[in-house]
Amino acid sequence: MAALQRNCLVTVGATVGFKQLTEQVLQPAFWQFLSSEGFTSLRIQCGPDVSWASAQLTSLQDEIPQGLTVDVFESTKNLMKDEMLLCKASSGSRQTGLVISHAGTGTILDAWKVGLPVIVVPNEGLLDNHQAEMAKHLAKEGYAITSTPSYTDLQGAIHKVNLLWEENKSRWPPHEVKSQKNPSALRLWDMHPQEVEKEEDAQMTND
Amino acid sequence: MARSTIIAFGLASAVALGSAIFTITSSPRLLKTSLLTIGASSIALLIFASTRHIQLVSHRSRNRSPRQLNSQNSVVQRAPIDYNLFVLGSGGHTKEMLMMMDDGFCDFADFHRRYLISSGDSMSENHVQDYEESLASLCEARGTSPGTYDKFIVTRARRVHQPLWSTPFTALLSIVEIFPALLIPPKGLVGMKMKPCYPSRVFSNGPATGFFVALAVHLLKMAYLVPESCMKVIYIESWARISTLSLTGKLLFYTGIADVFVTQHQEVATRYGVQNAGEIVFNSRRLDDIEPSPAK
Repeated sequence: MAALQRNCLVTVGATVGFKQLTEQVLQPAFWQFLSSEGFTSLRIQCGPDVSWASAQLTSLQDEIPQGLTVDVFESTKNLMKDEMLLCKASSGSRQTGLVISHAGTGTILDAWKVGLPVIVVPNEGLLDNHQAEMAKHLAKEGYAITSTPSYTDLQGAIHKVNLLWEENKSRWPPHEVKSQKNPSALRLWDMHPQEVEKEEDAQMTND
Repeated sequence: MARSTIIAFGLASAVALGSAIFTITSSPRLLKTSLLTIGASSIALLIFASTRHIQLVSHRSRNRSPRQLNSQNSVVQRAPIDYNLFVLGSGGHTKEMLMMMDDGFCDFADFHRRYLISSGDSMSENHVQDYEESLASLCEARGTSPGTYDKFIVTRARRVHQPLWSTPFTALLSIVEIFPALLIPPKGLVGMKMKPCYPSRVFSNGPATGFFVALAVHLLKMAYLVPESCMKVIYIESWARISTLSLTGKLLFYTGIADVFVTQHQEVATRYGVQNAGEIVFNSRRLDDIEPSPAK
């Protein structure tokens, strides 16, 4: 088997953390699955839960399958530059990886921009249901696959995201200046206020 | 009401208020008369302000949908130098704004971008730096001009861990600091063809500062300090808002002080009866557009 790298990044957001998700991706059974899918590295950004996660990881050190490395870290200055680029395919050395993310818009937009398959796991524990709403929207539009924070669901989602990824390749081809992927979307530079009707305006100054 | 009448009315009431306050401080015996004058002139000022507010709001087209002008089309009557202000907020808002801007358009000759950034928001500053560098290399490859840009830092309304009692003061300070950001011309543009040098458009997508900037623009126009034809407030609701408006969005929607108001999702647009402009963030170039993918 060619020794192509394949990286999986898990990210939970910098401030609140998402312990349920962190717990699930630290299950040896999930690691076995990742390894069987050809992943060579799992990196987990776990925010405030980092000390718990690294203790957990140390205690499970022996159960990490051959050929897979698992790392946990708190956060990074620029998640896109520092971590997501490691999930991007690079000829001869890396195949396309995967991002498993909370439903934070920043991470999702970054993953879209880099061009990576995304599994979104809404953090239901948060008070507002914005994350659930965003996850639903992303799934509906086919931008991402949603999952719950359970490693069995995540495994199903990984199968699905591979299919979606193939589909999406044709959806957002690299574009030149003017060709818009989404014809209904206006361009920021083209937005101007409506002109006030000339007569209306003239009347205003006269009366 | 004619423009001169309104100005005269406003000036007269301001003068009356000033002199009454002066009288009350110099001779307390005239307390009753002074108080009456203060009362009357305050009411007069209030009438002036509300008349002017209503006049400004009605001068705007009732239609808050954008007029779409192709930037590459010569039909656009651009000032000799165009100058736009971008209100950046916390990381997420900044990221979205820059993605909307980074749509591959790169003919920015005689064009200036000013970024309004809150103090301590180094993340936004870094993102702006990245965007400007990538734009510069795109323009170089195309043989076009990237134009110029500058950053204007204002005090953050409330720092993390700042004691609550001092928040109103820093918030006020940040509002006061918005005025120079709107009025001081960018260095490179001083003395050039454009006169007076105000931003033609002010873009915002949801951070709290966005509302204060719109308010500052409105106050400047109310006081006849800047012409109504410039500083058009273009509000694009954050892509993150799917079914409801953000607080900034609601404030701008109900006060009617934005010139263009659009959302990026149909659900929220329908709820408030505004135009859905589609997911403008996805106009952004992706990494594969910028560097040809090495894998293939």
